[in-house]
Amino acid sequence: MNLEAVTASLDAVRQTLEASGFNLEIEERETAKLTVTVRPGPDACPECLVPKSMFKRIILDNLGSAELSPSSVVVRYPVDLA
Amino acid sequence: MIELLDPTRELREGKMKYAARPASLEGLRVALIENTKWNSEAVLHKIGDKLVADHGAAGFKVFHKRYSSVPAHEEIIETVRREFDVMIAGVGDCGSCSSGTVLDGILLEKEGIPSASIITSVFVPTGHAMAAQWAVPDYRFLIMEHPIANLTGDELDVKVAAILPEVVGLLLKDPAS
Repeated sequence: MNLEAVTASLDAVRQTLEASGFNLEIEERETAKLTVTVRPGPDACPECLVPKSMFKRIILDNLGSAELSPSSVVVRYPVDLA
Repeated sequence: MIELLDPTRELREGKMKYAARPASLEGLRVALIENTKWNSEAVLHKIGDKLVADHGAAGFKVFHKRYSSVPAHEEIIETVRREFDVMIAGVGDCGSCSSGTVLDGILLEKEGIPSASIITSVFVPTGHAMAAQWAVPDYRFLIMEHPIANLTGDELDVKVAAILPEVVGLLLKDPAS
């Protein structure tokens, strides 16, 4: 996939996360399979995150709006990183 | 025991049916639902003052949510439905509190109360996501420039002056009409 286009399509999402102290990491671990990681910074506000199911829907909507169709998207939330 | 609350659903299609709009705010009782985020109560209070002073509202009451990230609890919803004429919720200034604020508006519109939910600009995608998950992707909420948490009273006055006409417009005119 064009990772630059993926990153651009998720820019608004990145801004929402950064406003609450989180960083967004995007990787293509296998062809067309995206892994999106929400990583907390030092001042992260854990209760500010939306439910993971909603976050995944936002990711898919943004990718869809940019006509990007990965074969899979894995979302890793802070709780998954421990 | 820890109780996990997930206010999302998976319904994606639908159209918002707004409550019937009043002709004016004259004599109406205004409910303000603040979400516990810093400066939210101040913003809503200033809006309430303006609605009374400039638009003839009878008065307002501020309700405090228990948690910013979920919709107002049932007692608030029921009281507003029973005792108030219009509702303003805000200010969604983070991800989960924006979705919660949008949901407050959706729930009270469904209860027949004309409502205006205010979130800040950064969280527009979150607001739309919550509306879509409640099967009302066209639900209209209001957007205040981000951020508000670090602003002084005078700076909040500017924000309130900017959004007030939109608040009044949304309470008086069905966005779907």
